[in-house]
Amino acid sequence: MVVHAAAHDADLSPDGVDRAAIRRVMRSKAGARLSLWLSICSRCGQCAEGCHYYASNPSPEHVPAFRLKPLFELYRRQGEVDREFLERLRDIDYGTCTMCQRCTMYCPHGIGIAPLVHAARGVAVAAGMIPQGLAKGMANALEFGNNLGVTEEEFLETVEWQLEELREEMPDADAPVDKEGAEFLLTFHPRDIKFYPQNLFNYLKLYNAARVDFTLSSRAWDSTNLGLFAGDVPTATRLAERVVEAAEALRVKALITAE
Amino acid sequence: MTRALYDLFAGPLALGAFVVCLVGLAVRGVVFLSLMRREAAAVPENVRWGWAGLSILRYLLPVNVTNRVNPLATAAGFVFHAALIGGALFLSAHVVLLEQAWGLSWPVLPGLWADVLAAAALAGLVVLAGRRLLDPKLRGLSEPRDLWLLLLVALPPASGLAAHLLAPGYEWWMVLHVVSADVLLAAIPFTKLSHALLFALSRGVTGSDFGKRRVGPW
Ligand code: SF4
Ligand code: SF4
Repeated sequence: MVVHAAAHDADLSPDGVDRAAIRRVMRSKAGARLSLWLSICSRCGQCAEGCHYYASNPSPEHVPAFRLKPLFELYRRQGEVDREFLERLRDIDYGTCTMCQRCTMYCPHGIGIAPLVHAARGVAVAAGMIPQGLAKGMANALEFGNNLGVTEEEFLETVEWQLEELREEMPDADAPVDKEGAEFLLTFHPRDIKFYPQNLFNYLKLYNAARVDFTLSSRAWDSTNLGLFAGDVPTATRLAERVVEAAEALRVKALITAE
Repeated sequence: MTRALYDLFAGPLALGAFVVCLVGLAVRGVVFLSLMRREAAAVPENVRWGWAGLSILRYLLPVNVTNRVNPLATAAGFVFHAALIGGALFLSAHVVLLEQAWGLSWPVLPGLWADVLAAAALAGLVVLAGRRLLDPKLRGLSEPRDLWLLLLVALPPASGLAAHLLAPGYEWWMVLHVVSADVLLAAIPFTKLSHALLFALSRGVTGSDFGKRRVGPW
């Protein structure tokens, strides 16, 4: 979890909402794009056609621009909001958007719903209101280097196991770990390592068959960034840095992320 | 009395409304660009001008994806915008006013077009308002001011048409026409109507962002 704002400059509301922290984050998010987008959304609803939430359940709450309502109100009220408001913001902005950006392709004004949802999540982070599952995943990522808490030993064992299986049909297959100077560094969704090792098998098979000069990193192999997803910028930065540092240390030319 | 009111709202107050509109929009554009510049100091913006231009063009013409998935709303939107802007700029009565006031002039549309354009703009607005009132997804999204703004935008063409078609009350319709046009102009920079200018900046920025990933001039 993220620790926030020293108590002395906190402006705590009776229900324990740290408004000073919220206002700080609001200021940091109020860039050129945010101010522009919040003021020109025409509430025309064209964005609905792009959203997979709306496609599967066409209710008014699933129209992408609906995600902007809490943010819009937050700025209008200049951060003077209570816990109930923030819970609604959290439920809407974490619960009904994957930040895929498809809606932006349908918006005549080109409004970036996803960056605005990201900003709203940043407010929830400042208020200490990240959904629990996400907070746990982030804590895992910070501690173990991947969001499912797979240990380095488990990771290396899984790689070895899948490589052995692969060699039964591809005797000269290889899965070099921490090989300096390789062309590409491969990263994976932790789910593929922990629950679906067959996917790792397939990746290895593919890259071997294509004769790609790749390596895996024993420390930085998580292609996801839950900090980014959660709207927690400092954590997102730390998680990204970890992979970048590994890539630089191994002197690879490019990083491949797979989903 | 109507004469005096008309002269006031078609004269000095109209000039005031134009100034508020143009200066207001300019300020909003400059604020946006200077914020962009300040942010670019931290993270270089790396604008893709070509993609930005294509993106603006694509949404100024009905050749984009919304056209395919939502033909009725897109048609209403395009007809309404074209008729309103075309009428405001090219009806002879408007150009004559400008010529008398500032000596500016340009070619005008034949007289018949006044009624056609006003009716077309209103038809487009009726479709847009109907969707806003009837379509559940838009009802959930709409704020009261969305409807007030639709009404404000409808007043100038509606009163212009009424003045022309309904002989009685001509003077009052004309007063309503100039008053509502002034209010509309002055409201542009302070409401979502600011998309008159900011649309291009927003579309441009997004077109450039998507262009960096080479996924098309969205
Ligand atoms: S399409 Fe764009 S302008 Fe229209 S409601 Fe959605 S975000 Fe707002
Ligand atoms: S970014 Fe969010 S709102 Fe937009 S289409 Fe994707 S899930 Fe829907």
